[in-house]
Amino acid sequence: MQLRWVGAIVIGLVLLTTVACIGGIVLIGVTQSDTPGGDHVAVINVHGQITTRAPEGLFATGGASAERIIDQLEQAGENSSVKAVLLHVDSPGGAVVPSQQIHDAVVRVRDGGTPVVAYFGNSATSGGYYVSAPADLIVANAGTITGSIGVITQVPNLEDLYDKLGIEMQTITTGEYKDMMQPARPLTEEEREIIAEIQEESLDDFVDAIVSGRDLDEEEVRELADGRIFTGQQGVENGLVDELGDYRDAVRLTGELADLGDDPDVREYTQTQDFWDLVLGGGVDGSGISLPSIFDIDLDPRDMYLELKYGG
Amino acid sequence: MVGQADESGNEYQATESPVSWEQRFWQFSQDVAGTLLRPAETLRDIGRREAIISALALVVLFSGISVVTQLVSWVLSTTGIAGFDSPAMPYADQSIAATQLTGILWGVVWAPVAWTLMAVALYAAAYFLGGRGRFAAVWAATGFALTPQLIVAPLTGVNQMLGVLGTGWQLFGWIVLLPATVGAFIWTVVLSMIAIRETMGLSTGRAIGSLAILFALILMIVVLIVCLVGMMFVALGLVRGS
Repeated sequence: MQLRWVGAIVIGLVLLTTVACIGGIVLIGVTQSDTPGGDHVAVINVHGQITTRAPEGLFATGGASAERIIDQLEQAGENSSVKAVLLHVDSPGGAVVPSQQIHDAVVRVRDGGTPVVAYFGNSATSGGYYVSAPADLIVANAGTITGSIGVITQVPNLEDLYDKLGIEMQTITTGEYKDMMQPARPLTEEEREIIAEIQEESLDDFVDAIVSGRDLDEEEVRELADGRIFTGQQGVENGLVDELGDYRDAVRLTGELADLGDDPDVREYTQTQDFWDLVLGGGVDGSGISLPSIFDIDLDPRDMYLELKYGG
Repeated sequence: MVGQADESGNEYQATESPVSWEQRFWQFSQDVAGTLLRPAETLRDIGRREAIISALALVVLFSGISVVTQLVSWVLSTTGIAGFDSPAMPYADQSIAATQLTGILWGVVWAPVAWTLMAVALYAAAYFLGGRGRFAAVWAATGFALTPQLIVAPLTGVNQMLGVLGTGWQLFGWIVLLPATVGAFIWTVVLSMIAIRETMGLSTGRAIGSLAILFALILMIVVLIVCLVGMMFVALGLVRGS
């Protein structure tokens, strides 16, 4: 074969592959498109501990990144093909601020006219419940663990450990309480009171969210807000949950709520990741993996909507 | 046009510049295949003809393929046409989208610029090592030395397509793309060595030396940039901290 024909075949194959790829991308895109026939339910996952940002990659332990979830909620709210949002919650809660941020984003989506349904998997406690409170409908399994309405603050006291190691912290501050949550000494009574005040404020916010989201009386919610946990069944009885059912039931109820029938087109939002994100777990912000995240160690003292582990 | 035959008996038209578009295309095809199959004689001939326009066409072709596939994927993603199991609408922030678009389009400009800079550096290195020849010849031959990039260019599209299908597929795409990219890079380096050897009349050892100088230069520039960026961040940190 003449050399020029070989070259023509190589160039032809390259161009053909390119055209096929472009065609494939367009075809896949169009079949999942924002067209009149593409109405669907958007599933947004809130899995794991709620944090501002969580590493998400092959080797990352994962978590419910508020940045990612809010981003996805905003996208769903702006997409005319999204007729309802199904918030798939399987979370023990997490930090206060990201929980509040996700809660507010859910409110914005709901107020924008897109129905929101929350489905509880194994657990949706504390912050996990907080972010779900504004949903139009909450569906839980009978054995789901929910509730745990309250605020917890943990400050490790490493004083004895430091003594054993011969470490003496030399702290210079500009005010009496500047070093109040440092782990080298126990908290004083005054410091405990300061933290308790902050917790009360966070709890009030939590209660308000449930009162407005669930249409319950404040007194009723206050009674439930002692930190205890409930099963899904108990949740239905005390008004924290609307319906008992599994994921399929949640999808069906969401479809019916959105006038998409009982078997709606469901599309799950996933995080875009490039190669290095996948391998190194850069996730949303490229924060990568850290030892504390791998071993689930929380080194920062801060308010948490109760982080709870159920079972062994 | 004057035709001649190589050792294999294949017709080999190389002594005059083609005139019609058809002839240009066949000459281009022949140069592409020749670079891949008989690199020494083809690159020598490309250099002798100083086929810069053809080399530019090749560079624009492979960078264009990559840019077009990325652009299609990007448009689908940013407009929300692509599905949610995919990089659907990841760019809520318009400024990020604009930066992405600029980055994609910059690929078309960057490829010819990088090729030219590489040719300049290689020519200087080869000259320093005792080689003699015309820069236009080095420019054209080093352009065709990038032919392996043409073969791997559609893989960018394949990877983009797999990315639309989902994260798992995208990872598979990267697993395929990475070795292919590395292979194409090594092939390109070998062809570049042959190109500089044939157009500057160097021995193989000195041609490798020229490439070593090129890579040392690139390494120095990278280190310089990293240092400058690092210093910039340190300076910014100091300003914020003060």
